[in-house]
Amino acid sequence: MAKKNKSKILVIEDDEFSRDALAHLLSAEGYETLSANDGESGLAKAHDERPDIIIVDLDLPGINGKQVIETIRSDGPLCEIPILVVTGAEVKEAEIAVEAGANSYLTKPIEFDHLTLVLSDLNASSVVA
Amino acid sequence: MQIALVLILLVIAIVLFSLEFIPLDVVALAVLSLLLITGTLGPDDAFAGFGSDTVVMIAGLFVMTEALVRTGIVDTLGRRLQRYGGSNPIRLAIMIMLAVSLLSAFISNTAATAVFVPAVIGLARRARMSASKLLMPLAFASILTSSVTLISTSTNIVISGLMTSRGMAPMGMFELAPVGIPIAIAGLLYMFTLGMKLLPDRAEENIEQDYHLRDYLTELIVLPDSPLAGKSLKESKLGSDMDLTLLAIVREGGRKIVPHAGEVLQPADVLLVRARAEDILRVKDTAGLDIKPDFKLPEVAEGDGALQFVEAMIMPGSHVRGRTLNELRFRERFDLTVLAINRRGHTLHSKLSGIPLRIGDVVLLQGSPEGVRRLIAAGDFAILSDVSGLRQRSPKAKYAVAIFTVAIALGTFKLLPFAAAVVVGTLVMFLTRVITPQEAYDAVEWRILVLIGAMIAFGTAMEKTGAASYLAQTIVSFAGHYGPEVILGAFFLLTVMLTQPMSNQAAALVLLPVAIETATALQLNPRSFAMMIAVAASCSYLTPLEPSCVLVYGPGRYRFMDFFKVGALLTIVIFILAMFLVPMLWPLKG
Repeated sequence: MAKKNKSKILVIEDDEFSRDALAHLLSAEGYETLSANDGESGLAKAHDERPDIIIVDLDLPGINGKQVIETIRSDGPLCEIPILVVTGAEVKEAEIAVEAGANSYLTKPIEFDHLTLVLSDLNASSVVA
Repeated sequence: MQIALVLILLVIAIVLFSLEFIPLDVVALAVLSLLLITGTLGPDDAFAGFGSDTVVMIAGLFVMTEALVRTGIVDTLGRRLQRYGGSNPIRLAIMIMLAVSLLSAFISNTAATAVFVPAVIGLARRARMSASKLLMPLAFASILTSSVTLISTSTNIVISGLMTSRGMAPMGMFELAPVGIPIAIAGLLYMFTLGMKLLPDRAEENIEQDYHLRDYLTELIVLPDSPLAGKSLKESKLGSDMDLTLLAIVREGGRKIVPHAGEVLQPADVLLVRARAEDILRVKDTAGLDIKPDFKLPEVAEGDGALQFVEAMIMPGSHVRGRTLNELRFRERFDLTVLAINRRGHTLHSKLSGIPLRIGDVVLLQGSPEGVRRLIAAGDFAILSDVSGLRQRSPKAKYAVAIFTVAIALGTFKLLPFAAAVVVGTLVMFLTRVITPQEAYDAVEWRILVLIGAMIAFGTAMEKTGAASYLAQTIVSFAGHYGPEVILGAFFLLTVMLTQPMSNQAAALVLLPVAIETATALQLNPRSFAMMIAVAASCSYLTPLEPSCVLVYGPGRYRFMDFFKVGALLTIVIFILAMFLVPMLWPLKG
């Protein structure tokens, strides 16, 4: 029942509930999932593991989501990775993130059907790239 | 003549205790019977042990400990630790060992170890370590605090009882602590450094099954009047207190949303949850949450003792393969309800009732014993285990802790004799229904009580016939000139040797009268000897025969010699500490 697309997704999220649930749901969908609970370790994992897609929460402790996006976009080997932003804040915030280089955004609560749709879009674009 | 008889009995008893082909309690009863038949002891002396406050107090402590375990409070402590310990396995292991040693300073070592065995196995699995690296430290940590309080182990209570009967003051609640705490600290340090290196590294098989560590998928519904409704996930403490992993929230219209800490729960939300069997059973006692009713029995026999919980696996060749729970109409056919599903190596996240079943899937079932029998007869499922015992009565946990604490405090501060405080505590536990009398009687380890009762009589016989003073004279004439420290040390070693084959209590009961006589003959302080024997009797690390070691022996895949390898050095460490501390705290010439 799980689709066998072996894309690797990195989830950078400090909220334990979201992180656990996303890891579980995405692996049930056939994705390989990695997770990090702050921006710093997220960037380190992005370097080490070269994920196909990065999901990042905008509101992170320390290095925030926007800074994560900017760092990735200015980093040669990583700059092409599609980034999906999730946020509990205003849509306006999310749009700033998109300006900073995110490919798409979802606001919390995230509907699972929306998420899979957006991911398969991003996945297709990353394969093309 | 009588002395010879008692000494012969002593030798036979030690041999039989060591060979273990006759149970310990039966040997003890045989000894008691022979003392009666030969007229060495009259019935009054022979049975006095059974009516002693020692035996009553130990029986009461069995009951109170069982109540603490049954209400899940000990278990809750375990899962809290797991939360706060975070993901660092070493830090978590250290926290668990500390918790076990702290706990077993007040409740039985075996009970404390038993609670943490599954947690430690789970921890080892997550940290990709062999469980053998952590299980023996767990068992040893529970034994290491045996000399901290009077109630750490029944052996201390037995010794205290014997001291009183020999005209000495009883052991104070924390009298042993100045020796026991340094021993515990040194022992734990040893286990985490050298001990860790000496431990074998053995992989285990099938351990998940034995300890119910399987992760199930289940659906919970937030009831209309639920206290959880209107709370955010973070406030609900679903993760921290209940140990459930929330995978998704299904809201009206079937929208499945990814949970986040700020998400507010609403009545009729369906929570898709991953959890272990015992955590799922616990939900049944949680206010405002229930396992989703579309495959739950309509309030039949709920709360009835006849309800059974089993784990069942779908067998090869089963007719249910490829069909969903909805299609199978489980409830009508078997009078059973499927509470949760586990599929090995796969993550499920859809509606349970719509998942097509596969060979090897495991389901958690609830129903009548009759329904379970019908299911077995149908041949599609194999019953893996009955998990009914995992369901705990958590609402009473606070009472259990309060009653236990008050009873122990009454005894500690001498407001009541200790045995009386324990009996009153047990009564209050019955009255508040923390534990039923039947459960309490089942929890009492009669084997231990029979052993202690009978061996108290043997101690009396050793004293009355003069056998104890005869042995003491022999020791004095051979070793008297070596000085008091050597004799004290010899008693430590003798006790450690005897406790390996015999039970700790029996060894203490046999040796203490001799030690007291020896001390008296040499004009030394008998209390130093009694305390030394108390410390030594709990120093059983050389073989896996101690009950808490038995608990980890199988799952850790240990061999007999593993205990000797790790335990020998530990025993030496404790010996050195005891030789230094005991004469300092209870001066030999007092």
